[in-house]
Amino acid sequence: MSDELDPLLLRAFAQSERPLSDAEFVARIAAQMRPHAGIRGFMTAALRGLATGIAAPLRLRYAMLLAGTAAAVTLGSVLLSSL
Amino acid sequence: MSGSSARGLGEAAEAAVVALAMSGDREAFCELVRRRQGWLRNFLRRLCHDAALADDLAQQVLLQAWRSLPTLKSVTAYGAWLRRLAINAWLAHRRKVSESAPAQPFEEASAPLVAPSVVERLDLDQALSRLAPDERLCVVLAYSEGMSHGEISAATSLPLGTVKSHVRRGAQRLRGLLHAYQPREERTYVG
Repeated sequence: MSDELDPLLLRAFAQSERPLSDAEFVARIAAQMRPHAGIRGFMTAALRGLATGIAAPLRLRYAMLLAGTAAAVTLGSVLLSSL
Repeated sequence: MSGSSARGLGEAAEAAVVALAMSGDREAFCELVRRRQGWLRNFLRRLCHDAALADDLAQQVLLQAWRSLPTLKSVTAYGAWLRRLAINAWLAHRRKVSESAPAQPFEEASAPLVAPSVVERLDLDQALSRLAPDERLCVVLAYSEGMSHGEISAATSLPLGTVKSHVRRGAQRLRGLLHAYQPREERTYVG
């Protein structure tokens, strides 16, 4: 590194590292971890497919229901992806 | 984490553990948390001078890292990427605080607030807390993280000249603060 730094301050920083116990902190993180976005994406796709499969056969006779279902599925997907 | 020990993750190279965590392995990510939590919490404590706030930010950073890990471009870039997330979390926190509170100019501490004495020592974290927030960030990144001025400028979006000035003046103030609180016979700074 070309930027000049004060060696005494560098030493002070190096000596000031404190060991911090990890068990409780790691447990807190682990408790809040949710599945990866990839899994959420898979769930979203599955939900979309399921909704389409249910709604598609009805589309000619129940256009309003299809529109409502599509809106609900879209909303559900957005909510899921924002988790 | 006993699970990670049982699977031998504790001895595995970080790149391998990162690769596992990227695929969604929770135990691998917990192992990464265990390895980096000390550094991350110390880094944020230096910036915040508030252990509880630093731990909250560290938690946010790690959960964001877990969510965004699949987007990491290289397994070897994990450390620098995590540091970038931590810097962004700190900057976002400061923005939030400054939006909720009326803007007040930071009172720069050119001299100790109380008279120095032989028995009283100002440790590094206390001295850092007397610097203006941007100055503190630049000094910590330069001295604690070993980042060049250019890297700091890129990470913080501060102009290069400002970074250089912050590091130089911040270090100068820090020296003054630490020096003033130390007995004459012990002129090495307290960590």
